[in-house]
Amino acid sequence: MLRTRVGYCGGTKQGPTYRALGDHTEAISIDFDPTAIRYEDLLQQFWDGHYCARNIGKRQYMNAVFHHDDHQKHLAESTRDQAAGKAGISPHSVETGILPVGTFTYAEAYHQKYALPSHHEVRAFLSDTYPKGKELADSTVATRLNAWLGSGLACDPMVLEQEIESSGLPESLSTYVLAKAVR
Amino acid sequence: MIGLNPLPNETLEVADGIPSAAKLPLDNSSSRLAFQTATFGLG
Repeated sequence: MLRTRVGYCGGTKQGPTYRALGDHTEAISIDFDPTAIRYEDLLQQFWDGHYCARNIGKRQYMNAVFHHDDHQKHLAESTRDQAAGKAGISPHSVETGILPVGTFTYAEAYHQKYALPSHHEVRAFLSDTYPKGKELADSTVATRLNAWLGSGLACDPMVLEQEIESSGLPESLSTYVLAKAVR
Repeated sequence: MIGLNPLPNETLEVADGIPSAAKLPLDNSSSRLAFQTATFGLG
């Protein structure tokens, strides 16, 4: 996983914001290295992570695959059919959306990297380095820190140490993250 | 800026497929990698 950010997509309203979302959906956008992980694997995680026969009635919080091209659309549809089989329902009964992504609008900065504000020195360093919201949202380092410090998921210690070493964090922050990350 | 509260008059950007963060070494190296994007609504 190279980068993640949250935002709004799938609708038609121009210039959506959190307070004026229109017909868009809150979504996560994931940049990934296709030589390290396949789109199909991400789809599998997605289908395994929710119950596809029910969708909340509100467009803002819809379960959906937002495809970027026809190949992704095809894979989303084929994995949907597999998910329906697992759930014991017809593919026609799946309520999870499969829609073109359209324009993806970055959410407000305070929605990005949600775990980091409670780690004040990390927050200050990243805000100084990347004062613009889009830069911060596009930072692999910020994405990693958000996962290491906020996900509660165990990190591979060797990968963690290698990535921290290559990240460019000041030594004091590297030490802090190594102490706080779950391993 | 990372924060808990909205910034006044913040202009939201749209995705253009170009990673914009490259000041830190890991960001610089990752911004040069070929990538694909997956997007999901998570309910």
